[in-house]
Amino acid sequence: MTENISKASDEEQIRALINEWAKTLRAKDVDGVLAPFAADIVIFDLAPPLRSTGADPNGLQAWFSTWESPLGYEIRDLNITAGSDAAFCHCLSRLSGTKGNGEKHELWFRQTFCFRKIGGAWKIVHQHESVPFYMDGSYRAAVDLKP
Amino acid sequence: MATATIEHTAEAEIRGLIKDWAKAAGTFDIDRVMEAYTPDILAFDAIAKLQFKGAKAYREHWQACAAMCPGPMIFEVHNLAIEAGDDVAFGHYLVRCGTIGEDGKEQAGYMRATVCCRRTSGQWKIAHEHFSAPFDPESSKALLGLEP
Repeated sequence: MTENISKASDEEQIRALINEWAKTLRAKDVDGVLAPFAADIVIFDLAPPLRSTGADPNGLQAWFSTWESPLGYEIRDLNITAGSDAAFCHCLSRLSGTKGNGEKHELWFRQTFCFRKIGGAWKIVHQHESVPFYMDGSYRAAVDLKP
Repeated sequence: MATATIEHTAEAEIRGLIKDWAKAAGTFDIDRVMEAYTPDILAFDAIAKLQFKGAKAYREHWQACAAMCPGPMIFEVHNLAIEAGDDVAFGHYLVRCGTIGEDGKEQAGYMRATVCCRRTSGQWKIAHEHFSAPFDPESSKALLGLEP
C-alpha cells in the first residue's frame, strides 16, 4: 500500500517535471530547460553530434535565438515508468514555430527521457530525441511524419 | 552495501540481456530477439515509422528488416552504460551496424540506442527501445557516417 502510494507519487513527480520542462521550452528559457538535467547527462540529439555529455547552454541559447518567440511544443502519448530511484518516459512531440527568416516549421519527433533520483529529486540523466529515416535509398530524415 | 550489491546484480543481468539480444539481432533470430521484450513494448526504431506499439507490430517490423538485409550483418554494441534501480532500469549505447558484401567489404555506421527495462516476476525485459541516427538540419538527410 505504502509502496503503491510512493510509486504514484514518483510518477506524478515526473509528469510534473515534464510539464514544467515543456513550459520552459515554449518560453525559450535556457536555465529552465537545463534545470532538471544531471551534470553528466548523456544526450542523443536530433542534430549531430552522435552523442554529447553535459548541458550546452550556449548552444541552446543560439538555437533558441533562431526562432521568433515563443516555441510551440506539444506532447502526445506520454508514458511514464517510475521505480523508487530510476525511471523513464517516452512520448511523441511536436515542435513548431517561425524562424527569424519568416519560415514556418513543424516537426513531429520521438523523445525518451531517463531519470535518476539524486538527493531526493528526479534528474534527467539521459535524453534521446530523433526522427526515423527512410530506407528507400535516399536516407532522408522522416521530418514529415505525423502520429 | 546491500543496495549496491542488488544494483550490481541487476546491472549484470541487464548487460547479459542486451548481449543475448544483440547476438540474436545480428543474425535476425527474431524469436530470440522477441524474447527480450515485454508484450507491450513500445519501440522507436531508426527507420520507417515514428513508433511500433506492441510485440506483434514490432515483430512484423523485424521481419521486414530481415527481408531487407539477406546477407551477413554487423551488429556491435559499444559504450554500453546501464543505470539500474530496483525494478526499473535503463541503458544507452552506440551500435555499429551494417552489412558485409559478397566481396567481404563492410558497409556500416554508428547509431544511438536507448533501452528501458522493467523487472516483472524477477525477470528483466525491455519495455521501450529507441534507435536513431542524427540528421543534418540543412539537407534533412540522416547522418550515418558519424564516428563516436
